[in-house]
Amino acid sequence: MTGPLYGVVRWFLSVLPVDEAGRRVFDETLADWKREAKRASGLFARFVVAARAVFSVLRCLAGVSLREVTLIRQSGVLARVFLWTVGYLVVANLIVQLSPNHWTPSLAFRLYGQVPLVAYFLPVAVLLATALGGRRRTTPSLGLGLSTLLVAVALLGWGVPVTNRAFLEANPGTASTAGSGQIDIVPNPPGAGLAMAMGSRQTKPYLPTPMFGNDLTVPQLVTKIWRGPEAGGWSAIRWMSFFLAYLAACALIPVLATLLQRSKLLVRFAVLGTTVLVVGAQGGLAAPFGEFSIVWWLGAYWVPVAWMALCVAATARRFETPKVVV
Amino acid sequence: MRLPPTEQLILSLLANDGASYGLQLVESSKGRLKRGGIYVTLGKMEEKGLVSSSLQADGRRIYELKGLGHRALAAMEIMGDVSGVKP
Repeated sequence: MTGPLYGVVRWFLSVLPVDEAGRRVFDETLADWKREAKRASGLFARFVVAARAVFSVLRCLAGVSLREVTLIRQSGVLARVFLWTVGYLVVANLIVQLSPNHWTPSLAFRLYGQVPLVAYFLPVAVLLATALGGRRRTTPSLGLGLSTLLVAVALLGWGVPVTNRAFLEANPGTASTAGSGQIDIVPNPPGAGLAMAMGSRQTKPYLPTPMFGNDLTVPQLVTKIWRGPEAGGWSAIRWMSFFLAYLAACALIPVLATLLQRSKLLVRFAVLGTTVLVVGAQGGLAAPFGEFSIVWWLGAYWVPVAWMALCVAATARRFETPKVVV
Repeated sequence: MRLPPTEQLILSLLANDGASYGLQLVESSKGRLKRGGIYVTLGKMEEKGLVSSSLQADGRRIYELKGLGHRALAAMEIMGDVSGVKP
């Protein structure tokens, strides 16, 4: 007897868009599970079989994803992600340049600002590049999800905080009246960015601070959480919630996009448009109502993940692997 | 071409035990092959033409060595490559 867990896992694997080789790996792992479950007698033996089978499924998911990473280059999706990202950067920089504001963006702002922009646009670029192209070739969605996840960890966990701090240091910021009595602007010494970010610069956790303006790497955020609420620990917890939700979204997006490739035109563009909006607004979702509810300001960032999971479930039918006709 | 240790081990096990299911290979490897992961490796080996498989009624596949697999194993024995992966 296999039980409801087997049914859920089988359904989950059946909706994942993988090629024929990946599908075979899933089918064989499930066949082993079914056979062992039939032979198991007693509650404990069934529990052991189920636990072992879940680990097998996780291992085969990892194996299939790693195998698919090697197929990404052939699928042509990387070139499309690159083109979408470059297009977005050009438009975003033009908007900053041409907007009628009263300040001229400094060179440091222009240079360091590109990294948060890329991090912000990464999931949207992967979504658009996958869903709007390459229908003739199978998209290695699990491999793409794994790769996007790893790039997102590096970008948001280290790249963005490091460039944000470099930007802080590049801007002269400390006022001094020493000497002549006149106010002088003293350039920030190296490392001042980290001191500012780790120090007493506190914001209330529910305030809508820009999520891509985080100045601390993951280990530094953990240190801040460890120091407690007085040292801005809640802000760090809030950011970690955003970080994890962003990673989950990055991993899920190629799966949804690949399923959308085979959906009807109207459904594809409706879901695509809504997902772009929801993912694009991810950083600001905690702002409304967050002042009143801790659950909201921690959980709001997971709205895009929940939305995408719902869309995947709604379009769920066993993924038809393209057959090779010889 | 040098085969990865896991593939060498699978070739040795198939040569010793004859046609086997994936789970049988895992069991006879005494922990060196892992459940789930073995099917990715077997799929790669089939693409390379080292092994072949046939689907059984219960949805499982039985694997056996192909000519190229036999030759690769013989070459590895000559080179001494399989010393560390004897079943």
